[in-house]
This record gives sequence, C-alpha cells and structure tokens, in this order.
Amino acid sequence: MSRPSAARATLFILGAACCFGSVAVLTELAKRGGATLTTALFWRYLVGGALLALAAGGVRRGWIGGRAGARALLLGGTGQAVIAYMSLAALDYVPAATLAFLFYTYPSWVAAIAVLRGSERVDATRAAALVLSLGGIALMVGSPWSAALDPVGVALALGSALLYALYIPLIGWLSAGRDPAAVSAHIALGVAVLLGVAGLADGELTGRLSMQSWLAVAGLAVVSTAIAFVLFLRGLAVLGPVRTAIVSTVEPFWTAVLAVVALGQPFRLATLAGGAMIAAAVLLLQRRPAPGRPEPVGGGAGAG
Amino acid sequence: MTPPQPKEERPLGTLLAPDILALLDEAPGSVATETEEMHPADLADVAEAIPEERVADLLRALPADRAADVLEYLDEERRARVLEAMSSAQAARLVTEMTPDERADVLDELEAETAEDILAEIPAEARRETERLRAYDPDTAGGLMTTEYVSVPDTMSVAAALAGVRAAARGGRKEAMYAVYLTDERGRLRGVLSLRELLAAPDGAPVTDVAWSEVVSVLDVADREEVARVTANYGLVAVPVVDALGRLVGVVTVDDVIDVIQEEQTEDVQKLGGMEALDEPYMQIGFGAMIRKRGVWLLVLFIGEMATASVMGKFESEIDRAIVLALFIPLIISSGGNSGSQATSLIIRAMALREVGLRDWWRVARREVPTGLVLGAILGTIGFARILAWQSLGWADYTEHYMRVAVAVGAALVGVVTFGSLTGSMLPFALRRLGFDPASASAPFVATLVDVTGIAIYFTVAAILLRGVLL
Repeated sequence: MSRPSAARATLFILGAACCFGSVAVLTELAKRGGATLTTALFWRYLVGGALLALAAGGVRRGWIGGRAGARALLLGGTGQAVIAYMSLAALDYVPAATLAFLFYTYPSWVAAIAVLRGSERVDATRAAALVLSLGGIALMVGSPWSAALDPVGVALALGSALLYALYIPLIGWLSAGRDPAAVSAHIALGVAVLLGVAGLADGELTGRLSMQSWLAVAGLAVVSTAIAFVLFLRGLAVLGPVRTAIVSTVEPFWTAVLAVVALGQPFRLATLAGGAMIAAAVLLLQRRPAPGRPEPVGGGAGAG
Repeated sequence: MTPPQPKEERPLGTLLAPDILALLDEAPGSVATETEEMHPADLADVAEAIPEERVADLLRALPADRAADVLEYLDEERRARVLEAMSSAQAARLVTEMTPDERADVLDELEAETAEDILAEIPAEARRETERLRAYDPDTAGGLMTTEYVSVPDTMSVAAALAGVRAAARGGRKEAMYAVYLTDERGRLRGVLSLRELLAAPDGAPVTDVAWSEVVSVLDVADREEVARVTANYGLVAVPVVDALGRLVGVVTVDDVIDVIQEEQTEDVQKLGGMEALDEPYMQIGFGAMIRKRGVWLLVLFIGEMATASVMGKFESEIDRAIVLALFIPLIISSGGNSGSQATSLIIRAMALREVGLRDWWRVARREVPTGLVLGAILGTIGFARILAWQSLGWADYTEHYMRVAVAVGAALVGVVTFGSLTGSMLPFALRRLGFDPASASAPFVATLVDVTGIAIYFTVAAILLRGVLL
C-alpha cells in the first residue's frame, strides 16, 4: 500500500473521526430499533473484531497467543466493555451530543492526573486547557441541582471519560511492540465474549433484531469499528499523533450534528458553547506531546 | 529486655526444670558445675519454668557473675519480684555484677525504696556510675548506654594502646569491646578504631595514625529513636555517646538498639491498632492497665462514631424514601476507612523511617489525590458493575432505578476513597505539627473520621443523582 499524501491523510483522519463519532448515534438507533445495549455492543464487537482480525492479516497472522494475547482479551476486553457500556448507557439520560463532548474531556483527565502526580508541570498552556475543560463542563451541565441535564447521564459520561484516561496506559502496555490491528481485534473479541456471557446469563442476548437494529449494528461494526480503525491508522502514519489528535477534535461536533439529523435530538446552545471549550482544551493540550490515541477500537461514545 | 516466651517456645527450660529442682533439693552445691556449660539465656528459661519461690535458690546456687547474667535474661516482672524477695545485701551482690546499663534498668524496675536499699549496698564506684546512668531519661541515649567501653588517650602508640586494651579486658568484663575510642586530655572523643585495626597496626605507630578521626556519635540527651536511626544508617555495632562538651560518656551497643527498635515498632503497631502503647508485654500487663489503655481510645472512637449516627440522622428522610441506599452504607464507609487507614499506615511508617518529613506534606497530598482518584475509580467501577450484574441476574432488586443507584454508589466511592486517602495521609502531618506522635493517627481513628464524612458524601451524591426519582 502506497503512503498517502498529507492532504489525503488528513481526509483519512477526518473520515475516521466521523466514523468513530457515529458510535453514539448508531447505538441509539439500534436501541430505538429494539436492541438492548448489551446485544448491540455484543454484535458490534463480535463482527468488528472479526473484521479487524482480517485487517491484521487473518486469524493465523493476527493471533497474538500466549500470555500477551490472553491479557489483551481479558484485561483489554474487560476495560473496553466497561467503558463502552458505561458511556453508552448515558444515552438513556443525556443527548448524544452532550455525551460526546463530556466524553471528550478524557485528555484533560489525563493531563489533570499527570499534573497532580507531579509527572508534568502546570504551565500556562496546561492550566488554560484544564480551566477551559472544566468551564466547558460547567457551562454544559450547569449546577448539579438544576434540571438542565440528568446528573446520572453526566456522571456516566464523565466517569467513562475518567476510566478511558486510566485505560490509555493499559492499552499502551498491551500494544507495546505489537500490531495495533491484532491487539484491537483481541480486545474487540474480548469485549464480545464478556458481553456475550453477560447477555446469556441475564437472557438479554438475542440475534432476533429488527432491520433498523441490524443496520445500526452493521454500521457500528463495519463503519465505526473496522473502517474507522483502518482509516485512522493510515492517517496517523503520515500526520503523527499531534496533528491526528488536532484533526480528531471534529469528532464530537460530528456526533452533535448527526444526533440532530438522525435522531432529531434538540441541540442546546450551552452544549455547543461548552463543547467548543472542551474541544479547545484538547487543541491546547496538543501543543505539547499528546497522549495520542492508542486505542483504535472505540471508547464507546463519540470519541470512538 | 527479654520478653517472656510461651512455654512451648522454651522447651529446654521446661525439660530441665524438674532436674534442676531436684538438684536444688538434694545437692545445691552441684548446680553451678552441672549447669556451667549452659547459656545464661537457657538458664533463664529454666528460671522461668520453675516455681517463682525457687528462683532465688537457683540464683544463690550460682556464682554471682553467672547469676547476674541469668538475671539479665529473666523476664522483667519476675526479675523484679525475685530481687524484692531477697535481702538488700543478696540483691546488691547480684546487681553489682551486672553491666552498668542493665543495673540501672533493673533498679528502675523496682519499687523506689527497694532500689535505694540495694543501691546503698553496692560498692561506691558502681553506685556513682549507676546513679549517673539513672539520672538520664530512659528513652535517651544516656538511658541506653553502658559505661563499660574501652578508651585510650590519643597520645598513645599502638603498642601502648594494645597493652591498655589487654589490661582492660583482663581487669573485668567490658560490654562494648568492639571498638577502641581515642580521647584527648579533656576526655573529648577524638577517634575510633576497631580491635582488628588495632591488632593489625604496627606497634610503634601513633594510634592516631590508624584511627578514624570522623566519628559518628550521638548526644547523651538524644532520643532513642535517633540512636536507632544512626546505628541503622551507619551499620554500627556500637554508637559512642558524648555530652554537650563532646566528652565520651558511654556507648550504646547494638543489642540495646535492637530492643529499642522492637519496642518502638510494638508501640507504633499498638497505636495504629487504636490504643495507647501497652509499654509492657501483653501477657504481663495488668487487667486494669489493659482496660485503661484500650478503653480511653475506644471511648474516643465511640464518641466519634456517634457523629456518624448524627450525620445519618440528617439524611433520615432520604433513607426512608430510598431504603435501597442503606444497603450500601457499609460498603461505602468501609472503603473510605480502608483507604484512609492504608494511607495513614504508609505515611506513619515513612515518617518513622524519615523518608518523609513535615515539609513533604504537599508532595504527599499531590500523590494521594490521584492515587485516591484512581483507586476510587477502580472500586467505583466494580461497585457499579456489581449492582448492574446482581440486578440483571435477578439476585437482587435495587428498584427500577437500579442504574441511578449504581451510578450513585460508584460516584460516591470515587469521592469517599479520594477523601479517605487524602485525610489519612494528612492526619499524621497534622499530629506531628501539633506536637503529637504521628502514630496516634491510628487506623481506627482515621476510619472513624472518614465514616462521618463518607456518609455525608454518599448521601449528597445520592441526593443529586436520585433527585425527583427516589428522593
């Protein structure tokens, strides 16, 4: 495969961001079609994982095996399943756009933890980013005692962002020196196994879905998992992590637009303003070496 | 001090006790020869195993220096009772043979009047030495040191110093002969060398040429913890003790330092367990003292826990309306208490080892907040998943709003564990700043403190998340 130009690479990353950014909307569509969250996620990760395994060169080439493979399946899969479930469960309480922007605070969580630990200095840029991020959340959510947004949805979205920030180093460790496609396939299949067991145990898992749910699940697996991942990797190879992260900030805005168009959800000005502040914080944080995006399978919300 | 051993841990004493008793009855004159190969610690085990009224007979049957050795290994309380049962002259004969520091310690254990009577009976020089040592606080270097060390003038040659050391060794027992100290004409500590270095040095060389002039020492008023720290840091077997003018006044030997470390650790562990330090072995402490030392803190903690009941009372209406919340109160508050106890234990130990000092409080706080946040996130996620799982599997019914309950429990755990870690780590700093022992920040104390705040955090979070639904 030839190396794409910078312009094409930017388009690839934009495409990947839109694909990842469609996760929340496609999940909501699957649920509106009658699928439970467990079922939608199970099929997404099962089919998506199989496609990623193909992208990694097939089962034989992509199979990591040994303890590293087991770790990716179990640890990576469990972490991904919890984050995906928690973030997408927020859709029952807050609009997709709100979820996408709140989840997008995860780079700020990473920075905040690094600053608190003392592993990174609090310079003006970093302080401004953290203030912007907190301000964006406050603007979007308002007072916890007001009824603008359901606090449960906010807690789920922010909680999953915090967990994603903690999950990034784990993924970095699991992926070290290995083909990212293979690791992602393992993680996706780990999620599918976990949710499959959980779904079977509580009797929720089913293959009898409505056409709308199947189409949404197919979109999740093919577009928001496999295609998004391939585009992301090809773009990342040319642009590098900093520019990739900057271009990827389009992701929550895409989710917001799609939620209005596909779900007919209202779009609040406070969401746009708060979201813009959160995205600006992410852009500011990219002025320094970025945490990058080590997890291509999909965080579950808009951030994919 | 030798702590008493349970019977099963001194099988030799138990085994030999009948034979020794028989010898004491039938041929007391042969006890000394029959036991001359035994270590004094083993003979002390025998003395522990025989009836207490026969211990004095056993000691009388031994040569005075041997009896003194046995006394040194005997359990403190039994030793005190045995000496008090003897005549002053008999007791004085034994304690005179003890090392000066042990002699001072033994007399400190006795009733003041008895100690004075015995002291009056011992030779004048030993009495003065003992009185000087007893004047020191027992928890200082002066209270720990022995005056049986070897020193030579720094003007001597190696040959003369060797002759002096040999004369000192032949002249009687010297407890600390690991090193030879050099002093000037005013008795100030000027150097040190090991016995091996002295033996290996050329006879004609001045002793200052082979001695180390940089000597690690402690002041006679230094706290015993400081003595233990210096001994550990420099890997010493004996630490010289000097007065304010730099004059050598004694030596603390490593066996006494080990006792100090054991006692300090015991004290810290007991305080961490939520009580005053017992100051005596568990099996020796009296019933009243046990009640007092444990009861005071139990009472303080009990009163503290009353605040938990008061705080819960503030949320009574919430509990009435959402009884499901009450199910998770133990989970929430114990997690906060546990995280606080962990942090407290870590910081107290780090303070004891001087890894952190008062000025490090900000660095510790910056470590504990993200640590608490991450640990809280892990526990919160597990708590969240557990509620969803139990509800899905039909093992519990957390109402139709189970997702809200799960989020409330998860979020509260993040807050409580973070708060617990921060509070638990800061409390030892606050106590030290106020002049208390940081170890007083016992784990139960921290747990009580975090219980109160944990309840408040939990119900505040629940009030936000369940507002208009369950509350």
